[in-house]
Amino acid sequence: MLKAKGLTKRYNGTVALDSLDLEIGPGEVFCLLGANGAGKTTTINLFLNFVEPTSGTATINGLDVTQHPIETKKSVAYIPEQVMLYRNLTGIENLEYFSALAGHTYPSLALLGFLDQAGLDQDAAARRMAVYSKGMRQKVGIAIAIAKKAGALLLDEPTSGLDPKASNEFSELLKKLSASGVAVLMATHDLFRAKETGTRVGIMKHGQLVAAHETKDLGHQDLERIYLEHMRD
Amino acid sequence: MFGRILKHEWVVLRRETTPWVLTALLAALVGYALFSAARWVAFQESAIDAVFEEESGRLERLRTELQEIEAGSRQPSRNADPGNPEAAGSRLAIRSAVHPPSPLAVLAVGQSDLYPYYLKVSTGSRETILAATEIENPDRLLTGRFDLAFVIVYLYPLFVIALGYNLISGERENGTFSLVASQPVPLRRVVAAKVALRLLLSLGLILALSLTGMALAGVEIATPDSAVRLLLWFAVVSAYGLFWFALAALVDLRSRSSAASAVVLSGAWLLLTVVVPSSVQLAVSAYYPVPSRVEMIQATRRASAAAATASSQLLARYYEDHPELVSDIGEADLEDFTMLAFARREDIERQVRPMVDEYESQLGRQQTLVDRLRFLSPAIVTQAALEDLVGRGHRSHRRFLAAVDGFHRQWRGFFAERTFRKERLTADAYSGIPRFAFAAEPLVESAGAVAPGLGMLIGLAALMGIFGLRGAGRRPFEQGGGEEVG
Amino acid sequence: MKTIRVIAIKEVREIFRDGRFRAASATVLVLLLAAFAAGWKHQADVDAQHRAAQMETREQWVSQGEKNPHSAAHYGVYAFLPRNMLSMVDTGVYPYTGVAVWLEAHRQNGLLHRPAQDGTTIQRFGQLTAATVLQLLIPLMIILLAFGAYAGERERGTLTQLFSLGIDRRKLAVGKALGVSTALAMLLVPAAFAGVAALMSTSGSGELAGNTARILAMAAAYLLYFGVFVALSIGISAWTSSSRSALLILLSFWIANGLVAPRLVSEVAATVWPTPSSVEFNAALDADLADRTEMDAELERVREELLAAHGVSDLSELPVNFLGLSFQAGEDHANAVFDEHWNGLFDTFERQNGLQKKLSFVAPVLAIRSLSMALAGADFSHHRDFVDAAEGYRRDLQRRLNAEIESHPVAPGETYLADAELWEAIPTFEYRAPGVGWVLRNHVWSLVVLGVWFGVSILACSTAARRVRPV
Repeated sequence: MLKAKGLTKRYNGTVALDSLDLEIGPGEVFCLLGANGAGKTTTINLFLNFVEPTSGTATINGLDVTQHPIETKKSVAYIPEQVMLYRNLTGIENLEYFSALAGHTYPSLALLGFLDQAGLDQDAAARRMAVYSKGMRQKVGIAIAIAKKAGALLLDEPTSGLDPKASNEFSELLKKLSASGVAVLMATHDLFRAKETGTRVGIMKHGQLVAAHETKDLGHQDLERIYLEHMRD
Repeated sequence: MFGRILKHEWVVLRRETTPWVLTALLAALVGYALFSAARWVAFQESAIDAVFEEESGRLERLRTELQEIEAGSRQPSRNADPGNPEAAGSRLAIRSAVHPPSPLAVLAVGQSDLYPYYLKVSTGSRETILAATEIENPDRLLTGRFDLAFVIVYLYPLFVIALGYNLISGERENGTFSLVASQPVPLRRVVAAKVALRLLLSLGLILALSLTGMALAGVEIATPDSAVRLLLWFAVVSAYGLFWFALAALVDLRSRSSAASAVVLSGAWLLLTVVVPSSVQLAVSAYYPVPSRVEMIQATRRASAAAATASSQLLARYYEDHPELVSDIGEADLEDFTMLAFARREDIERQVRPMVDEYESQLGRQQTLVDRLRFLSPAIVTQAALEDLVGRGHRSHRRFLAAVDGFHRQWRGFFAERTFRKERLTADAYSGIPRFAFAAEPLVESAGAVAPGLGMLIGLAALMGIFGLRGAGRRPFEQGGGEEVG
Repeated sequence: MKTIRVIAIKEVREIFRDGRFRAASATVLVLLLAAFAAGWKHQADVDAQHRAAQMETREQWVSQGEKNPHSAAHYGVYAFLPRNMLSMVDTGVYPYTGVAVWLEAHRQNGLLHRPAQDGTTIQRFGQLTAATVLQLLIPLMIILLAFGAYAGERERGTLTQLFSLGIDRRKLAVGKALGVSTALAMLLVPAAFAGVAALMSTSGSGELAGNTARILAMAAAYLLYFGVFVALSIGISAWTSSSRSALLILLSFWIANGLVAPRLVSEVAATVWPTPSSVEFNAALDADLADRTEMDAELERVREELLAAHGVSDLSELPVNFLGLSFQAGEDHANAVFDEHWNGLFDTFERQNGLQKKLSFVAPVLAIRSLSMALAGADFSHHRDFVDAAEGYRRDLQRRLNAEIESHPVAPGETYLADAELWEAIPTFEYRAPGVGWVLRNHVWSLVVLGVWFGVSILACSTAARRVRPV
């Protein structure tokens, strides 16, 4: 589903990502861990074709993202760390617009359904973004991703700023999505959440994927120990 | 898809305050521009009416006077005899050549406040006739009028810039951009939809405001000619708007922030509407300096002095130039003062002619250079096109002057013939005195004059559009803010 | 003082390391120098032409040969509008007033040949002059230099650093203003030197010395004008929440000030004090000129008195030539009419300009514009002063010629002929423009407006700087 092969990105000599090889199949949730600047966001940006790889390829469903920028985006949904939306539009209007851009036309009942799935109540959906809290915006972002019905999901620290309850609901949702065959790549700082929702975890350092483990093989302490070991220089 | 984006943009735009403020501002500016231009047109029309009224009254009085003289009930006055062709042609019966405002004149004051729109044509010298001016406060001439052409050439681009400087950088700064960019839609389609909506809205606004204003000012689109001119007028405005939107999109797609694109766009505006035109003006007058009119005044004076001392040769020379008048003239007439007046005037003109020619050819060279350099600035092209389409510019004035020139020759011929034949003007002959009729430029010619500029505006807009949008499809984060690089 | 200097030096360093500033200032400098050069060349040419023509017209007058003085009166002389050397900085209304006036018998003429009328299609965009650069381009540069003064630092997060050092906020503002002004000075000082050098080379040092006060006043006025923009830009930058909104507010002000206000105010002035059409003006003038009943009655009374005083029955027996008296009576009658109509017209123009001056508190450019034109000797008041002087000369000329006729009685059928002796006895027309004191008295309001704008912007700037929030 999501595949990186020798994926490398350099900015004026500094290496942001160093020949990453990665494959995430349907139903898998791959969690990328690492310090700030380790290359997590760069990986996601490369899959979105937001930046051009220096070498290597990123493919979605077997299509190179640089060759097929539009087709590949049809099959991938994205939730940024900070979901920012049109301030003067309501939650439902924002969802409708982004769904339209993705090529879907939903009746408003369906749109409300997506927002409900994402955990946003109906009253809030009819209010303008300007009055939304960060958590509420994040939920609209999640609804946009659900509504896209994409085979792959790219998440850049999606739960940052969510309260523990909402965060928990999101994990449940993610499990449901992956159970339905969605491939998920999630960058996160949250070791606990990674262990909880991920099927695999990878640890990045200086642009390199230095370790990758199946979560079912690890206990809670194991992950923290491995992580801290890698963070030491 | 395009339609969905348009609709979304419309909702977003509608819910912001800025577009409404801008709309209200534009409405006020267009309204005031049309109002003040309509006042100017009314002023010109009433002045022209006064000219005609005075003229027909005067000619009617002269004719009555002449009838009385012919009937023997009145003695002709010695120096104001309406039957004397020289007196009639040089002073008593003179007529004005009028350049009336066109039906669409409210759309542009143009240069009509600077150029005379009625000239009193007599047998006198061409230069004296052309030197007439309308009275105006020089300060006001310097400042220029607040007309619709001004609003469009100078202020409309600013309106466009205000709507377009943050097309994409705004989304970037609001953070919505990454979500848009992650959708399977080419960015150029989003940009094109944004531009299209704003272009349509702003043009629709100008069109609606102009038409309302024109209706209120009592302008009637009575002829197909006017209708086509109006259409062309709006075509030029649309092309100019398109140019600025294309520039705004091009700049904004390539700039780091909305503030940076505002800086670049306002710089471009200043360059294209103020700096380039005034520098072209500077270059043209430095490259082809026009001899001073002071020289001309002096040359005319020298020629008059010379002419006064050589009366009889002058008349002989005049006959060489006008053999048709020789036939039945006797020797004694050589002393005739009135004939001498004609001969002297032509002699002075002959002597000054090289200077006038030099003057006019230098102005011609200037205009040729301007015509070439005008493509440096869409503002020049647009200003000229907007003026030319409604007959308020340099082009129409040149046409008027050429017509006046012809009329002046005809006028002189009419009175010279009668003077030299020693023929008194009769009351009947008064109705045969030449009249001036100004034929406005045919639509085809005006359209032809406007076409290259229109083509240039559309071409430039298309070029920038293609160039700008081609770049837009690719990775917008790369040259952009570099945000979210982790 | 040290803090201020440190801040100013840092600002200047930052400005100079910005490639955009270097490009923009190079452009502005080139434009300013080009405008100076062209203005200088044009000024030199026109000045030479007008001097030569003024000498030639005198020469023609003196050598016109034997003539009756009234023929000479009809022949007349021309007065050519001299241009102040400072018009190379600001051409003002020169292109729109005409270059010469014919001073003939019986009639006060208007000035002939507006140079702008002999233009091309782009005439109305105006010619680039130093004044355009100073009034429009430099303020824009100031805005671009200063809009990020606070807002930019806040966005980069350096403002918190600065404030955590416990810096005096007033000193920070002064330092920033000083930095922008220094950067600007590096552009303007060389340009000013070039300008003065050009002025020195065009004319004698005498003319330059005579204009020193005007030059200094002009420089002071422009500095005040720039000061308004520096203070306003820094103030707005401190007051707004982002550099983007600072920029937008300042650009809107710049457009409203430089572009919209002049035309709008000019329209308003002409609506309040309408200009008559020349048909209307000339018809009224001609009607009054033709109404000679009072004058004829007066002339008749003088004739009777003269005949009675000398005890003769026919004019030809008088020891004076009555024709001279009659011509002069005609002149006197016409002069009163001209005074009424021309002064009425010029008063209308002055009222229009006066209203513009009064409204200049809405936009500082209106004040600097009229002040700059006036100091360059190129405003309507100077034009009117010249017209009045030329007309005064014409009337004096007519009076002298008519007196000459009056004092030379001739037999019926004969004409008195005067010669070069008389022509030479008539003084040459010499015009001296009024001094700088006259200009400043005319423009007290503009000065006050500029001063108030300056004071208010400084006040606004310091208030905003005191209240600035670091985040």
